[in-house]
Amino acid sequence: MRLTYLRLHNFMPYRGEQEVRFPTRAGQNVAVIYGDNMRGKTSILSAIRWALYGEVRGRHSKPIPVMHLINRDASQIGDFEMSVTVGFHHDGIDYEVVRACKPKHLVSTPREDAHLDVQQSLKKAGEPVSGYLIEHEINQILPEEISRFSLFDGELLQEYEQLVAEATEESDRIKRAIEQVLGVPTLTNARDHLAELLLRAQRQFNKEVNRGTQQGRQIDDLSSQLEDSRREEQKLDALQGDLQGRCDDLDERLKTFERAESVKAQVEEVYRQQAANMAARDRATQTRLALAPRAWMAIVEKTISVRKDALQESLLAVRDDYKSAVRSEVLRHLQAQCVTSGSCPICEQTLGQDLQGRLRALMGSQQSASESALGDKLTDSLVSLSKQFEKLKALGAPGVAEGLIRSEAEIDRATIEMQKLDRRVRDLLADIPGVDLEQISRWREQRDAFSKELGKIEGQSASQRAKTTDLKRKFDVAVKLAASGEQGSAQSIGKKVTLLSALSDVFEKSVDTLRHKLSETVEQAATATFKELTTEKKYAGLSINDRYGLEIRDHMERPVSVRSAGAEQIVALSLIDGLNKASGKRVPLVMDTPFGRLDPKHRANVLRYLPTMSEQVILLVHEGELNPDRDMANIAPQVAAKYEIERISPTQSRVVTR
Amino acid sequence: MADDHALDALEAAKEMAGVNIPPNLLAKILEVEKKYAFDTEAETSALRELEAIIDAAVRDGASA
Repeated sequence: MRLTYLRLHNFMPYRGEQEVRFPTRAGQNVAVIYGDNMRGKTSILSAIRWALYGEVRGRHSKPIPVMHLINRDASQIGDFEMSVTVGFHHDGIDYEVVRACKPKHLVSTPREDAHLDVQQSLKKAGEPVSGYLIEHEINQILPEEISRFSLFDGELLQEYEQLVAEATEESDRIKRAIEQVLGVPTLTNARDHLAELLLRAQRQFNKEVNRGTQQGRQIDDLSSQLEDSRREEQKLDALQGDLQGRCDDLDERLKTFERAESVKAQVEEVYRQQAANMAARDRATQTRLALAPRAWMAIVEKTISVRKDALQESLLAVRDDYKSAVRSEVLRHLQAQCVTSGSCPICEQTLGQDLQGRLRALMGSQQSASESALGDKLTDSLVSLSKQFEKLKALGAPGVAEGLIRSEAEIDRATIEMQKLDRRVRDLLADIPGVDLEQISRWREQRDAFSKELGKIEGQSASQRAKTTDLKRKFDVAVKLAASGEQGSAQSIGKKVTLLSALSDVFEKSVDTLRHKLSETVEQAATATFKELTTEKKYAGLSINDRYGLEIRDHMERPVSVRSAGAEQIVALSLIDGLNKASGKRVPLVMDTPFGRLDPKHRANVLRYLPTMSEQVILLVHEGELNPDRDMANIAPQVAAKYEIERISPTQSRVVTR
Repeated sequence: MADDHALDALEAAKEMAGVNIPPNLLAKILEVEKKYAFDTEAETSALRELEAIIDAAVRDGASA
């Protein structure tokens, strides 16, 4: 980085527009700006810092309010607009950074920073850089933290003396700044970032592992279930096989006794017939028992029947006589009525005399009394015969004899049939001597039971096979899932954790190594610079401590415990040069009053050495520390620009070419 | 020069740890950190870029 120009407007003592151009040519890289005390040398340094970083610090590092940066004469007349423009060149690109302030809208007379609107802009190769990228862009070139070793006040160099003293807050702050310029934060930040990424990856890994564990558990469960199912299937298959074997065995046995089986079936049929026969015989016996009480009637049945037939014949004869007698009585009565009334009581026809006479004659010839007595006699006879007939009829037992005969015949038939069947059984069994038909029956029963059980087991086995197939499918899916995406992810994160862990370890270990190496490098570079700058050429050099504090080593390699202010300044310049060399950063050196404490010899050494300390050196000096005639000779060939800060008023200065 | 020292220190630490880190990974990490070293507000960007580098290394088969 090389500064190309600085443009000021109403900044501190510089009222209106002021511009300073800086040399950029190699070999002529020094600009000297003279200025007496209180004229504005430090303001030049402050302007650069304000433009780049937006802050100006005074003595004791106290920030100066922006309001105090505005030229007093300008603000006195109501001109509160202030700006600083810094042009610089870096890596072949021109940059221009501008920071400007003006009163906020509707604020006519700002009294504090809050009343001011401060804006920063940056142009890179003529193109504006977006606001949020400006800071990043500047930090890539000259970070504020390391600018203290580039844009510094020589009067403050004594602060580096603290680095050799006890560790204090200030020495820690300086140490941090030194490490920043050396690039240690690159490593420490990386270490911290990697640790953060490692933590995140570990969390993610744990999550994935848990997920994987759940998956694994699911696979284990499914595997276990599948195994159980297969075992159950095998058990059922074995049972089925056993039952089938038993069935086959029984079938084989039953086949061997097929003839016996047939005989047995016939025997069983005979037994069934026997049972039916016995039932028929039992029924016949029951019928015979029921008919037996009336069996005697059957014996007298014939005699009674003859008597009953005779009585029935007599009864019919008497009944005919009785009917005839009744008819005669009716006719007589009708005749009497015809004779009495002279007309027929039925058809009411009048009877002629002749007819009446014949009727009287007929009536006279009939013996009405005897006929009446016959009627009574016939009635008695009819009643008597009817009673006798009814009595005989009650003694009759129709069908009893037939029933008894049928029963007896059935019993006889059944008995004979039983005998036949018994004989048949005997004959059949004689055909299969020594065969235990009961055993065959038991086998048959067992075979039927086994067959039934086999059917049941076959059903269970089919169901179990279906279950096994389903579990196998689920298991395959789970394994496939685990083997592909999820598990792959866990493996990948596992690798990431391993890599991050290794990187964190490497970065952690490397920090101390780097510090040690940088210390060595800074020590060597600072020693080389110190030897150039010091007038005591016998000194062995500088030694560095862990806070980058430098101590002078005398010719016996002993630390020089008491150092003069000039020696402190030489050591500080050596440190700055050592740091810049160790960091490899190519930044300009803008030094304010760097020679204040140096004697002429040291000043001469420093002046001779300065052009080699950086690609660009800008010295803000007063004539007391850098005599324009005597001292400038040491640096004259490298000085490309000389300016002077002129006093205009107590509150105004201007920069002019000298 | 400081960058060289950082890389040297890392390589030395890597040798000491005996881990297998892909070539250029350390340099790539340093490059990112260098870019954001003075940009405290870009912490997230640095982490994101670092993670992308690590993920790419893992994808490429890196293991320690």
